[in-house]
Amino acid sequence: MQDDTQLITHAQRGDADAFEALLAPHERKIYALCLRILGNQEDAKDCAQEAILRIWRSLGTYRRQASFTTWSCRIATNVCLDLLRRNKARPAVSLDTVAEVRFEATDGRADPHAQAETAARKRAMTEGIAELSPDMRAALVLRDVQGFSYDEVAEVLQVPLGTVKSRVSRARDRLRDALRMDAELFPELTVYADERRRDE
Amino acid sequence: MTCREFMALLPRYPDDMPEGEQRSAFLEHAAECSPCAEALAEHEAMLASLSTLDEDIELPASLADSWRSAIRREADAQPSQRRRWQGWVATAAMIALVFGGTSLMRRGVLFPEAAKQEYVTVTEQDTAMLDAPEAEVMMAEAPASDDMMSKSMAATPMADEAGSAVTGSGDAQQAVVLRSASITLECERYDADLASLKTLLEESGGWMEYQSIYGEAIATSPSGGRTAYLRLRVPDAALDGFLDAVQSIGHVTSSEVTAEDVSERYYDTQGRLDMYKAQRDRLTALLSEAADMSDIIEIDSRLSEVQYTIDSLSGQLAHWNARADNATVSITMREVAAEREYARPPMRQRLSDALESSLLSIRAYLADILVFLVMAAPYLVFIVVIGIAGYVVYCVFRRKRK
Repeated sequence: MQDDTQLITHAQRGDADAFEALLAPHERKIYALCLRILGNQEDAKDCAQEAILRIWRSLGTYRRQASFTTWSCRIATNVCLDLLRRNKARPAVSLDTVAEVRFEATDGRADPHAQAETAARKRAMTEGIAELSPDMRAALVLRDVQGFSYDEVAEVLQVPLGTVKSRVSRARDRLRDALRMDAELFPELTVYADERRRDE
Repeated sequence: MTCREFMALLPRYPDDMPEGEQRSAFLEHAAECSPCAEALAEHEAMLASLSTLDEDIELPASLADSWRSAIRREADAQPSQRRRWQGWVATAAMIALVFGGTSLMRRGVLFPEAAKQEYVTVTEQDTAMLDAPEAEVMMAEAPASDDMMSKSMAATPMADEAGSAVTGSGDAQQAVVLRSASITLECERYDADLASLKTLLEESGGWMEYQSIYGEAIATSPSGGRTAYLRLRVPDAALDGFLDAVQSIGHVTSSEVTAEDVSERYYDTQGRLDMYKAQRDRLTALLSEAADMSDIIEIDSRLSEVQYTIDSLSGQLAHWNARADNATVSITMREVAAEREYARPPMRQRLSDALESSLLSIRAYLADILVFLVMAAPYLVFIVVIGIAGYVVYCVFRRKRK
């Protein structure tokens, strides 16, 4: 298997095979990013497609200062945020599609009750994320869902490190507030809540 | 640490809270305060859930297919960067080949025979102002020697001197060309220029046949100016040098060189002369043998007619010989006031001259490119065949390596 450097070089010369090999490991990540930022499958699919085409077309300008993953996520994030800016006036999209997909995706070996609980929890998370402003949402998704470092998030979003930290911090705060409403979905919290009740 | 401070720091835990006093105080507080500990647990549970949130997201098959086919379409539709790069290089090489080849051809490095043709063409253009009123005038047909228009004067053996550009296939007759030039000059320093003209004439071994001067000197009549008309005879071999030198004396307003080929008439006359000479010899022989008075009178009368014709024809030949030996140069020298600016004709004139000259040289260059392409075509075909063969070998090699 050729390494990324070689694949990038070939893809920059217009080799579609090399580009496929280069992007395949990242396609799911890009789609997931779009899905989290946009909140619905249809837009996520369109934006992921658009982002991948943009990555292909602008590969010639990629100077390898950032890692390919960071660079491609930057393009995907920009495509999503552009769409959100364009559709500012549009009413919020339903998140059902996202939740349903995750229901179907769980495997059958686990306990059905636990499965249902996990799914409900994820649904609450997804809804909480969707309530955030686009900038905060992007920062939170990149840092806490996708696992980029703060520096990488700053590079993806093209904003200073301090701004990223403050966005992530505020986003976590808001999300936690939103999840408190669904405290029963978090067993850990219930334990603590019981203890607290006993203490009182 | 108060609960309020703890809650303010909570969202930054753990990744945005470096090891240190603050972090220790934060954790100590959590150990002591159960509501804050609960909040911390809540926070950690949330982070844990977030990190696994996307674990079971599956990529829609339609997306996986659609971006791949879109990329394929684009890759097939647009030439790759390498191909684009190759295209530029090929275009640059083509331009370099055509223009470089044409320039080399012009310098005579490539296809010297074409360059020679071109040399004649350029000469014709350079002397475009030289009128060629008669069809007989021999210019371009002249042999491609340094002095193409040089006279030819070889009717008599001794006339075959250096500089004569007489061709002829083997023993054929040599061309007899009569050259004449006419130049109009404007001079600011009339007297000095006239003197230097005469000096030039002496140096070139010529003489003045006719001189006429009229008009008043500008010094005495500012609106006037003298005009000298001179008819000079200059040895043909020295004509070119003489004309060049004359043109540097003053400002040339017109210049004309004609070359009249009289070979046909010359040799016709010579033939008739030979015939009459033979006739004269026969008549002289007859006369010495004649006894009858009436015969003597008749032969004598005929002989004098023949002699007259011989003289006339010889005179004609001698005239041509003299004119072929010494070209006729007519010079009109006009005195002009010093402040007149010759070098700067009106702007419009300069612009149209400049444009015309560019167009002429572009036309000449394009013609050269065409000539070059035609001459290079056989080589190009050869190169293309080699190139195609090379490309095929390269493709086969590449496929094998893949």
